[in-house]
Amino acid sequence: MKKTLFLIILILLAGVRTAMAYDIVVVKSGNEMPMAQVCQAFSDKLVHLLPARGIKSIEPHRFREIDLSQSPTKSVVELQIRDLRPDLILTMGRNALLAVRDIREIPIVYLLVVAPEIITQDRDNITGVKLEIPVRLQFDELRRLLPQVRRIGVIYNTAHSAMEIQEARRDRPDLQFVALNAQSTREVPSLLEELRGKVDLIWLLPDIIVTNPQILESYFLFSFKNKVPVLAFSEKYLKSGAAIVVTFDLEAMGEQAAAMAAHILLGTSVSGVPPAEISRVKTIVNQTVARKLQLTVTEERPQ
Amino acid sequence: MNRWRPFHRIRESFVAKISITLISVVIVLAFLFDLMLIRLQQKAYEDENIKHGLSLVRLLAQSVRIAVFSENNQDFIMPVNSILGHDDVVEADIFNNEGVMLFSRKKQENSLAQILDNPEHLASIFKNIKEAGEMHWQTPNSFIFWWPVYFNTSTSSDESLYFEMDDEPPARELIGYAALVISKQSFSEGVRNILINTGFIVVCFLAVGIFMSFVVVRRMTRPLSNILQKVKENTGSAGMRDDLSLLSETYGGMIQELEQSFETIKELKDGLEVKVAERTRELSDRQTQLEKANLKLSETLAKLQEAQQQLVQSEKMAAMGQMVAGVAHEINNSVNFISGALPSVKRLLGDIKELLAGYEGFEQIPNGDERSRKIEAIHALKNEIEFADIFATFEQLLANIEEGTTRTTRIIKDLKIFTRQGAEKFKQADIHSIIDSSIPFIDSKLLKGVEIRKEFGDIQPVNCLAGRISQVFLNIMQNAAQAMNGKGTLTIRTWQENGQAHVSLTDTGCGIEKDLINRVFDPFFTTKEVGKGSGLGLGISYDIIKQHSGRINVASVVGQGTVFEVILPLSPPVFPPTMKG
Repeated sequence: MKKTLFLIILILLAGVRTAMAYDIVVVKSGNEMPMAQVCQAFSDKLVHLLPARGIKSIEPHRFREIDLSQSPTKSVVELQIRDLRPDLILTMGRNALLAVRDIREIPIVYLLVVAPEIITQDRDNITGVKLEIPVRLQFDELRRLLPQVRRIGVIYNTAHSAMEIQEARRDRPDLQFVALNAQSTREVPSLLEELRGKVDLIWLLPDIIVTNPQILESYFLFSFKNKVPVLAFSEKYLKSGAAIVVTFDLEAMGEQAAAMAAHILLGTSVSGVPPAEISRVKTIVNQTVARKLQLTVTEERPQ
Repeated sequence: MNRWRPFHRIRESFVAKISITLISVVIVLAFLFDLMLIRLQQKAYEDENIKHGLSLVRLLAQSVRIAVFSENNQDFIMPVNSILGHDDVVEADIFNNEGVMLFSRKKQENSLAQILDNPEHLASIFKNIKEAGEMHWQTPNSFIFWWPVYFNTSTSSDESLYFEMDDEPPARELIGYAALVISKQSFSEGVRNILINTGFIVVCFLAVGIFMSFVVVRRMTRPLSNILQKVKENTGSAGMRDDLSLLSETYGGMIQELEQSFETIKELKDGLEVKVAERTRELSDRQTQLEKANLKLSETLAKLQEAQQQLVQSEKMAAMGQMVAGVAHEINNSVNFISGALPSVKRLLGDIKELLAGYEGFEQIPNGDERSRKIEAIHALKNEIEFADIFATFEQLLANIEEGTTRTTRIIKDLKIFTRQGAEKFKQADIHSIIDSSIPFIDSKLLKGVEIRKEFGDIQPVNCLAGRISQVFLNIMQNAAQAMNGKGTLTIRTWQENGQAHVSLTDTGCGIEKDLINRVFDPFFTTKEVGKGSGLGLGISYDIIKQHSGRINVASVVGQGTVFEVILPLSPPVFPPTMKG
């Protein structure tokens, strides 16, 4: 009798699935972005938040990667994911999110996507961390580092970045924003000329019309000619001539997404975990440029 | 005719021909090298200028791209002025992609005026630039460069605003054209400098090359020139033919002679082998004969050695005879002193006996007449026997006897020295004593009318075999005495010099013939009558002196005399006294 009971228990144990170790598919847009760093931060944080436990706890969480540069078509990616039946999909980049957006039965967490709401629209199984620097955080840092700056010059495009201007004016009434609307990239140099002598700082917006690589040089030429620093939103502009960069912290973004994923994996519905802005920024001062522009930077403190 | 002689000589001289040919080649090569060098340098300089111009126009195109993109004239000023800051850049023009001039600035009259006034030409230029990527040409006064102005139009994604998108292929759009006119003034000056410098270098090279060619040809052809000179002297064709033909003829002749010589040598060689065989055979026969003759000679030599031994023995006997004769004579002389004195002594003893008898019983005779008569008789006897001189005479006789015994004793002593030769050993000896001891052994008959004059110097004792040396002196003095034939002077002189004792014995005899003087030391050589000399005396003397590491010299003048000089080292190396004779 005891032997029969023991046998039944063994058979039942063999049939137990690895419920406490999660399968996660990571879909990457490509290798050009710092995805490895973000992905590593995500997985480290997830293991920390959800340590594998239970009967089969010896098996850790499984991360399977799908690189879109290797799987070119959307349907192939969908087929692969459906075969794998993961507990969660982590996407990195706009193309990765676009590739899995039609999968509705599996929760999706995105990272490194600018304006994700255009893609997610009304989908309730998608959430993530937006790739945008909150205006408020940018100017908090600016005030801390350059308290003497009052007049902020900015060129924007109504269709792409009018919201940021409004937000800035709303959040920072202590600053004077001289905002000029550029209908096309070609207008940027002449608009910059208009800002001569009227501003203490140029604020670079993540707007593809006014901040594309073709015209970027104009900002920095203007900056050097008029001794006006440029506040940028990505480290990539440091080498071009930006004086101050307030940008996102990749590790923090990964950890933030891991926390959201943990909630979802523990049973919280995706709609209960809404998309979030980045919670932590990183500020870098280009000391060489600052010295040449004769800036007095009061403090530099990583956050 | 003589006026053209130097030119004629140059035409004949192969050195002049080679020199002129080499110098001509050097000049031609230098000229070609000069042309090639100028061309290469000019081309390189031109290419360098074109590269420089293209770099400038590309830089201009790069600098003005934002200005072209925004078509903002203010943005052109700085980059264009920067380019025009170069001395040679005289004009810069910027066009948009539709061919409309956006900006133009120039330092001098418009070099592109003709092009700008011709829209079709301009359009074709733009077309070419689109296809080729750049365009340049040159006019007599300037270089003209064109470069397209591109603008980066890569389709940026929103993410690309945040991150480096390395994998994204670069895309660009042609938005305009930049033209640059560069003056040729500096270029022309550079080319002129190249011409001058290269020309100068080539002239220097030419001068050095000609000089070196001349020197090298002179040095290299010097042996050949010497040969030619000798050929000309031998053939007597100086100035008659040119050098090369003369050399060629001489060489041809030499070859012919050499061939003949080789043929002759070959013939001789063929004959030589036969001759060598014959000679070898003859030599073999001769060798057999020589061996036989050698055998006979060995036998003869043995006989001669036997005869020599006999002769040496004879010489010994002769020497002994002479010695005995001398000894006998000397002893006779000595004994004569004694024997001559003895009768007188006897007589004097008789007189004394008689006188003493007269005194017998004289004491017992009383004084008176008898006593007086007795005294008178004694006085008469004394007068008769010359009593007053009797003791003086007696002493003289005893002295004579003593002299005789002394001489005899000395002779015996000398004889002992002379006869002790065989057992003799090297020891320090006074050379003067040796000479003195030898003299008595000379045949006294020969010395009757001979004066022996001794001029002895100071000589240290000589380490020698005294008996042998004595024999040498005796032989020489004996010969001298014979040569003087009983009349003359034998001068014996000694001195010491450089650690050697010198003894010269000079006689005033008949002397030795010049032809014979070199043979006096040869064994058995003698000029004496048969039976009077063996011819071994001087030979033995020579051997004895050699045994003492000394020398013996002889010089003679016929009719005046002969000088023998014996030279002995004071300390000769010691040899065992084994000598023939």
